[in-house]
Amino acid sequence: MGRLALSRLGGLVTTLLLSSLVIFGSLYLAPGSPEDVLFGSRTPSAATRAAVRRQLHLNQPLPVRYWDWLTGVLHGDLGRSMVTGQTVSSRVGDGLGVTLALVALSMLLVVLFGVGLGTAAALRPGPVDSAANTVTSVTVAVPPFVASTLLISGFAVHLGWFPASGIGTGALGELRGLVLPACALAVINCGFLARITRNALREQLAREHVQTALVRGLPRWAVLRDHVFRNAVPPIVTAVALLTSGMFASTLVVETAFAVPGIGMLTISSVAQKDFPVVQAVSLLLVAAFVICNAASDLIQALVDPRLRTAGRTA
Amino acid sequence: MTVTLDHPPATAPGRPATPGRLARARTALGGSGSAAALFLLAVLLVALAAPLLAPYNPDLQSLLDAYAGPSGAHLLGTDGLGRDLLSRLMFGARTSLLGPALVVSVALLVGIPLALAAAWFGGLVHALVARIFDLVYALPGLLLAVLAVALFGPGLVPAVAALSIAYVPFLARIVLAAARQQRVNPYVDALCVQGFGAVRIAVRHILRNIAPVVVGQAAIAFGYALLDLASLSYLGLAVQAPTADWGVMVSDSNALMGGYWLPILAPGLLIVLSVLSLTVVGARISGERPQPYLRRRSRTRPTGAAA
Amino acid sequence: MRRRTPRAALLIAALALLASACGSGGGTTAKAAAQSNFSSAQVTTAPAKGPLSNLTWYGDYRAPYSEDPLKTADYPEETILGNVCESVLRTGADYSLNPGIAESWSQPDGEHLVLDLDPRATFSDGHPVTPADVVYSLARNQNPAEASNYADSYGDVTSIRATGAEQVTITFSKPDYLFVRNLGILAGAVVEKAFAVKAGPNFGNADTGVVCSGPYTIASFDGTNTMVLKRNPHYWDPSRAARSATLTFRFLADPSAIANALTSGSLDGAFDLPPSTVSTLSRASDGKLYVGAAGSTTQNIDLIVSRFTGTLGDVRVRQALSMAIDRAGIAKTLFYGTADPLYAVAGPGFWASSPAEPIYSAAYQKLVSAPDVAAAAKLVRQAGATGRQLSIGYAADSPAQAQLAEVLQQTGDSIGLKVTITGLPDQQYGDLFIDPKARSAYDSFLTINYLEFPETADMYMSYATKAGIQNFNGYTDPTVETDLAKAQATQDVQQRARYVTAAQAVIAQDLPWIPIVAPRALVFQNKAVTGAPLTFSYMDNAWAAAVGAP
Repeated sequence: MGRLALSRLGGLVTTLLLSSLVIFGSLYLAPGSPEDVLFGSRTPSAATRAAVRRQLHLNQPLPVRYWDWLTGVLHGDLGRSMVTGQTVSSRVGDGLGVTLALVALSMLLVVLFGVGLGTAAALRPGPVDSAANTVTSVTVAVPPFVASTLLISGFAVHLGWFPASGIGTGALGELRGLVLPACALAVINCGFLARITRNALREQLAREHVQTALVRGLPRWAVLRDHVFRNAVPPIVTAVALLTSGMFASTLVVETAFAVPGIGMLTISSVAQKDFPVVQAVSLLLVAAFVICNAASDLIQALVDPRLRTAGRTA
Repeated sequence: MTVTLDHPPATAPGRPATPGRLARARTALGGSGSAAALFLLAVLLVALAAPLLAPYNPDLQSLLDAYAGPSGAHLLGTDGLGRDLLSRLMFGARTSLLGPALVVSVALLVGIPLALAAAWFGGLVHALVARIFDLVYALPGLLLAVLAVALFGPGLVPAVAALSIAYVPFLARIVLAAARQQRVNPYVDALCVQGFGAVRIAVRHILRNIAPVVVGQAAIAFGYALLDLASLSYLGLAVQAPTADWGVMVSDSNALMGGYWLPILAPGLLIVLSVLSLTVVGARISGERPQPYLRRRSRTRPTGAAA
Repeated sequence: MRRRTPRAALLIAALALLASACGSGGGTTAKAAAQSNFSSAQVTTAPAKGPLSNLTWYGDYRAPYSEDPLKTADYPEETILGNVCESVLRTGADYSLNPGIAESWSQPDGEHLVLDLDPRATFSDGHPVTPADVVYSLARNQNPAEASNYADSYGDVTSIRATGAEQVTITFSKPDYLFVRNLGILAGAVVEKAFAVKAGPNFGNADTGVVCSGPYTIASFDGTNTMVLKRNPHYWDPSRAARSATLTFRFLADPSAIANALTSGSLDGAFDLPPSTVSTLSRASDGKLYVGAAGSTTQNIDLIVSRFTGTLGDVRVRQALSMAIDRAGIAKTLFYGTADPLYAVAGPGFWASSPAEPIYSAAYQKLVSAPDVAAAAKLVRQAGATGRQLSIGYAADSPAQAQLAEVLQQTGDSIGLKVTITGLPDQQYGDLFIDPKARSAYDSFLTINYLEFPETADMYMSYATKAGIQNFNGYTDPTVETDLAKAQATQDVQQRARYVTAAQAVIAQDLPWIPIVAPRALVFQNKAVTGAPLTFSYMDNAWAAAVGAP
């Protein structure tokens, strides 16, 4: 178990390092000089431009710049935004809170409805199962941006129950503003989780020890609780971790659609503004979230199922 | 995940006559799969024949008829600049299908040789290739596309290039797992002994045998690539206005605010139906239920309850 | 387990949805053009009577890049910073020049401008405003290291000196009666010299800040979403002290986010609203959308010709394109009726309130004409330009510009040109205005142009003279140069109007910029607050001090 954890951790760090290299390197390939961002719509003199390049260390070779940046990150210094001059960590900090709240709310909805629907489908074969299948088949094909548009159309413009864009002020207002975006993110993932839950539960229900327990007269609810659900939990939890990781990427679209000021929207706007330090930081954050969730799912699986604790990779 | 084979090795001579290919396809697809396949065929036909079928030029504006409802002149009404919605949907099918087709083609072109080589040689080659796949898989496709657009400006080409790279692991892992299973079959050794070259065995025999799985997965990948590209076009990063494209059409915020449903609902619905059909057809062809999010790690032995 | 034909259920659902959409789609919401609901005689909303504890306002589509008033001349900076950094003179809601830091001013002759400072003026940290501070602040515009956005306005200034205990004199290289206007906008902003020199290149950063003399100071700025100002308790002119204790600006780019924030009350008001918010805001119940009459702002939406080496090099092609544009259709559909067709870049918004209005109006009427696609196509053929390429760049973030670009593409195609349009992200679009290399990639690009005050001569000088800061294509014409120079040297408004209209006649034929439409004023104000100005004067001024409870 320890070996597995170490190897996963090693993999995580390697992946993050390599990703950071790719992200850092690619941004400096962009046409146009990075320091143009600072001048906005002014024409600087040659001396001013040279001074700014020196200040931003843009006159040094790429590997040196990368090393400087990396050591800075490890000390918690993510650099300064080229557009506003603030530290990147303060610019990202506010957005991170909003995005985490959004993903948390969305995963809550996914777990509630996904597991609920999957359980209903597994325990009641026949028409309920078919209906659930239909619903899940459809929802897995609805991308977040379509879901966003439908939700805005219906609940915001038409009914006016929730704001069409932005988040309000104060905790309650913010929550109200996150409901529709969370639903938009949740739609496509509910279906997946429902399917996985249903399959997991059905497989457990078909197991011999469950059949035996029922035949022996143990109450159905006890069997369900102690044998069926408990054994079905690992793949469900794994799926939840994986879905969470995928959700971070989808925030790029949903936050833009709903004008929610999180790091997804910050990524898109800082890319448009060519604010490289911020782009690097948020890209790395998104990759890190993705990778951490994947690693977490592996570890949880191994934790619960001892058969998977050998550290070897497969496929 | 277990892979079932639908065909015997292709070199077996004198096979008994099998039912016609169309009939076999229909049995394999099943009721819902056939409907899905028909829908896809219809979309493809409309996309190809759009110039002939569309009642209007999709770019023809008529400013004073903006957001008109369905009528005799415009069967589905008009959009914000008075352009005929039906014509734009028809032409939109072209760009909406072209992008994913390119993504899947490039991903297969790059992924299949890599996966086959890894499966064949095993050992170090396999470890290296698997590592590369893991790294690329760690970067979300959307993020790669956004970065590509930051570098090269918005457009279909950077978006397609970035997504192709992102989809290589998605497809190649399946190819890799299936090819590895094939590799250990006795017939492969038999062919080796007979003196056939590695490339020939890999392409003519292994690839042909795993074809259903690959094609099925490609269809599913097509669907997801369609979703990703539509999302990017929605953000204005891939296909650009005024080109008619389903993703672009969904982003009409004026329609959204003004309460006009149809210009947004129609392209959105087409996207959903297309992706749905592709996933159903893909699942049927590869003979198993699609669960891409869990298939992230292809295991050659069953893991608990994940079917 | 075999799925029971979900496809059939799905198709039925799809058809049902379509049917319902067909039933309700289109035409249910009013498409009537917005009507103007205040006359040009009304320059502010009802005056405020009471104080406020907090005021939240729309700070425009992005956060300011810097708190330094000179760094960027764009909507966010000019909406906000005038409340923090006062200028030498104060522009009233009716565009009149009033005392500010200078209590009086005079021009003994065309080449000198004398400012007498108000001895009461102090900065927010208590230090008095001295002539040295004023000289330093104005001279910053001429310092290349500062790269001020208003540097071009100081092109004819040869010296700025303190000439008394409370006096500053500005000397010009030639007679100039137009320059004094710049002292009423951020080009004349006064900052504390000691603080600015000490802060060096960090002056104006979100972490460093600025020290000025206005009714507000900046309390906090997160760089992206919110900027909070607080009342300056030691403001030196109690008669114009701020009524609201705090003033919060929020930055939103998405039109529906803006409309939503206004209708839900999380924003108390907004200027410069995107036209697509009009339908939602006119229905708002706890606030009022003010729609101006024609000519209520100096804004003009134009197609700037960036080079004469391409298809637009031939004046006939430019005239043909202008002839074919359906300005009325654009104003009605793309702007929901909150814009008017524009036939000269300095349109009614520039001279409707001028004493010389009859002269300008008569000259303008000669330029008004209906679109004529057939004649335009013929002109293109005569110029031999049929089938030639024409590229248009536009700001991808602006939905209004994006739609306008599509319309222009269609217009160009209808007269025989092959038009390609390219949406540019924020920064790249801004580069078009400063980098000749970036510009050279496009034949033309769209702009929503404005001048902070209504002076027709200045508008034309900025792009139609050799030295104009916005002359991107190198356009020059000897009669235009002479006429505009004469206008600059003339104090009499009527005579100036004659020179300007003479130049305008030539410019309207040559079309270095093609005017399209002029947006009207769109201001939203929640019922709980009042006092905001209804004219474009809010740009660069301490307008927020007057906003309070009704």
